[in-house]
Amino acid sequence: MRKYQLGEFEEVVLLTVGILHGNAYGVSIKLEMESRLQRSVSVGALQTALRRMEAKGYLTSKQGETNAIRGGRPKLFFTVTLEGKRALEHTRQTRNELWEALPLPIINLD
Amino acid sequence: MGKEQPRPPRFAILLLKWFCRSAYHPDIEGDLLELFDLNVAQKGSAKARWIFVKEVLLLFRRGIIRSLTNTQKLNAMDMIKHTVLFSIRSFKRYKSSFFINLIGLSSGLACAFLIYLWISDERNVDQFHENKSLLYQVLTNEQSPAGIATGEATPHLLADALAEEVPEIESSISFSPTANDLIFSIEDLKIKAQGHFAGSDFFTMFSFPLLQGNKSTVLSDKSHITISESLALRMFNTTEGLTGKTLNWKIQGFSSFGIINGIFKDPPPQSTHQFDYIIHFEQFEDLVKTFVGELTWETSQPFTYVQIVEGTTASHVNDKISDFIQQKTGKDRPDLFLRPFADKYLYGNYKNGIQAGGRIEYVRIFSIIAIFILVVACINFMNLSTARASRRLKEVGVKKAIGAQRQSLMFQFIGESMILSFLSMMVAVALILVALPYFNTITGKQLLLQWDANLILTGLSITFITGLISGSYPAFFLSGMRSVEILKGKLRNTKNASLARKGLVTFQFIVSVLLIVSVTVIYKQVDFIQSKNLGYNKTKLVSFPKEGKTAENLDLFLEQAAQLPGISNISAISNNMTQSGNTIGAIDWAGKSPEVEVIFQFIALDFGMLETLETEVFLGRGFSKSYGSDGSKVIINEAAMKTMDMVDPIGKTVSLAGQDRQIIGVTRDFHFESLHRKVQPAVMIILPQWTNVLMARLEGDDTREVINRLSSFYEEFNEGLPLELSFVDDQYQSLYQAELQISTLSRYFALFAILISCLGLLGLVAFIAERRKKEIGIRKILGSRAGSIALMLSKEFTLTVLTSLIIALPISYWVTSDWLNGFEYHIRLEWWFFAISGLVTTAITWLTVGVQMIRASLSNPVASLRSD
Repeated sequence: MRKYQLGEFEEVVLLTVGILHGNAYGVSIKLEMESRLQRSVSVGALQTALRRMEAKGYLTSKQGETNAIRGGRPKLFFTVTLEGKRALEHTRQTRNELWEALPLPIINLD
Repeated sequence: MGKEQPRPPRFAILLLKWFCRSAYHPDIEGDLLELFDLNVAQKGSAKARWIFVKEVLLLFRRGIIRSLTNTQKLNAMDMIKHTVLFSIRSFKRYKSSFFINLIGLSSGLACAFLIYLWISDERNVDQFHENKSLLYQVLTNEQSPAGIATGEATPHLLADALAEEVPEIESSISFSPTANDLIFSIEDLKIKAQGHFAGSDFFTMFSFPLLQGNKSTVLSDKSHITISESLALRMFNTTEGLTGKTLNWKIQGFSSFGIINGIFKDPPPQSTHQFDYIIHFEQFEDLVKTFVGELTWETSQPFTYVQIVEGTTASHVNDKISDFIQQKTGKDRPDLFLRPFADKYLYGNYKNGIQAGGRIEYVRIFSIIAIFILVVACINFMNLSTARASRRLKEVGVKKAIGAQRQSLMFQFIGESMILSFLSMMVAVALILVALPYFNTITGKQLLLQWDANLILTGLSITFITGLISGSYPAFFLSGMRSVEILKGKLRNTKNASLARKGLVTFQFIVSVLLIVSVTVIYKQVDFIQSKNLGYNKTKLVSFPKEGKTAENLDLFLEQAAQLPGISNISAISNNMTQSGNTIGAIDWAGKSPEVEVIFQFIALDFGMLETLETEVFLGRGFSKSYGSDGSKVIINEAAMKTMDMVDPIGKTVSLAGQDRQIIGVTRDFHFESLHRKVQPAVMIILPQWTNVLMARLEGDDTREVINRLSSFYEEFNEGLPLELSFVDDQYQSLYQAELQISTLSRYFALFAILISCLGLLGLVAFIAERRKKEIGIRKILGSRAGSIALMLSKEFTLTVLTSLIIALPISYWVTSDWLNGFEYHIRLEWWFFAISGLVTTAITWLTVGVQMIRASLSNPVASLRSD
């Protein structure tokens, strides 16, 4: 059985790429994450995560058209692969299993 | 809103570009720029800039930073592989230019390397003495009407006096000026050897290692003799147990004996003094005393070598000893000064008391020739590569379009020339190994290729520099072109390149013309020296030493030898015609101003010598036995007549060393010593006991037969002593050995330089003819004749040659006249030397160019036009 290891930040990035569906490139991912999660995301952290997941095969990238706004630099669009989808599902499932195993007194703590 | 678009900080962009992986860089930079614009709109430009910098700094993390080592190393290896591959391909493809380059460069390198060997050998002469920085020779500067004459002969008493009285001089020795032939005998064995007489400290001052004996005591006593290893082996077949043996020796009728007290290793070839024995100098003084009586400050002869105390300087010692002789004699005698012993060989000439070159000039000339030859060979490479550039333009264009950087293209072209130059070096080494024996015969040296670090380093650096120079221009030129233009075919062969090529070819021809003129002048001067009327007839004139029984019974020997068939005249003289002989300062005549101190050559003769020499006595008469009193008369030469300012000298009296002698004749000037020096005034007297050399004039065609007869008579007369005979002709030749060597060498090297530049020209012409093949074809079809086409093609080269002639001829005039001024007697520079050089150069060019041109113009136009 394969192991789908995802860190918390990776999971969030992967999910955001999925949410943006076809319009996921550096800036849009960053803005989406910042607005949804109310936390600041550095380009460095984001890019590192993207590249690492691309290397793992959870993401693929495709170069878009060049745009004058970006100083003539192309956008790089990311999409979630099947492998990435499985990794997300795996993470979610393990979370759910853990939730179900949680004893009631803890849940009703407050 | 400001008019200017706010921009992110430049340094941050550059920083990112520098550290970011190149694959990630474009879109990351794009993201950052997009964010920057957003931030400018929302938060203002200052804040946006700050955020930009922060983001860039945060990107500096693992996964984003490019790797520093791995990829680059691989890249360099690939580049080298690529360069080698392409070089080999281009060599294979353009075989003719490859071979022209290879032959040119390798012969250029071989020439340069041979010259390097010669130069380094020259520079090593006399440099092996351990305390060479302290060793000096004492020279004299003597005022004469013609200027200051510098000499090596010093008074006999000088060496000891210097050592005693000048505290700055540690030790000081006298040294016999010429290597003396001497006969050693022990029991029945008689062996001839050449060597010197020297003062006690000889072996402590100079580094001639001793096999046996202690260097401080080996010459401490008058009776001590030291002999060389090879002489010991020749005499005794061993070098062991010889100390204490008594040797008898004999020189020019003077005989003495000594005890072997040491054996030294044969002097290395890098020593100016070559000797098989060193005998204590007091023995030499005894020998001289038999001629001149008591030794005084007036008798000059030996060299004086001194070793100064460590810590003092030569100039300090000079100040002290300058008027040393004047203090001793109270007369206006010559000034003394020191010359480093290490400079004796290369810096031998003095003009008017000032150091004026010597052999060092030849070292310099050859260094320049070596550089010239190398440059000419490099130019070939440059020219052919740039000319062929149009063929490789596509390669360069494609490479650049793919993304090759300028540096890597330059690397490729310089690499190619490096490969070629190293290949050439290998060929050159083979050439040197073949040529070295011949080179050694010409130069009279024993040069060897010794693979020590020094030689290898020099070889590698010569090769490296050659490769760099010859590759640099094509590298800059080719890599600087713009790929778009190349690929669109806009760029053929730029004007700049062909101008540069013309310039380089012009330079080659300047060098060639310079060399041709120089070689002609050197050849003519050497020829002039050979054939100059010397005032005596040097053909069929032989000389041999007066020694043994011959010296004892001179009259009897001469009388009997003169009877031998084939000998027309025989007599005795004080020195060989090519050596400087004795001088006399104690000379006086009526009308001589008392302040003037003049030095005359002093020649002792026997009767019949002037007739043997065939020297013309143009005033008065020669010596003759029939007058009975000629032993007290004197004959002078023309120069002496002028010096004494006499119109009709016959019958006047001259006082020689206080003795009045009547002048009975005046001879034409005849040369002794080298033509570098003017004929000195000379006095000749009959004084058979002072003669050292016998000379005989041979007659008839079969000189060998006569020599055989003479030598068997000599051996019989001398009880087995072999005759050592030499032709005055040959002695004269050896006097000009340096010039002869230079003449021969320069001819060879000039030939090489010219050949190499012609080779380059040939390649260039072949290339141009090929490129203009179509043009020629069309012209032919339209009715041009072969001749006019050839003329058209060669016009360019004729112009180049003319330009180089205009530049080269004045330079060569200046250079050659400077060289000739070093000779007291020299040829005049004739206009036709230069005309011939010009014609030869032009002719060679036309020959080289012509053959190619004619071939091109005769080719069938169909063949060249069909393909399109």
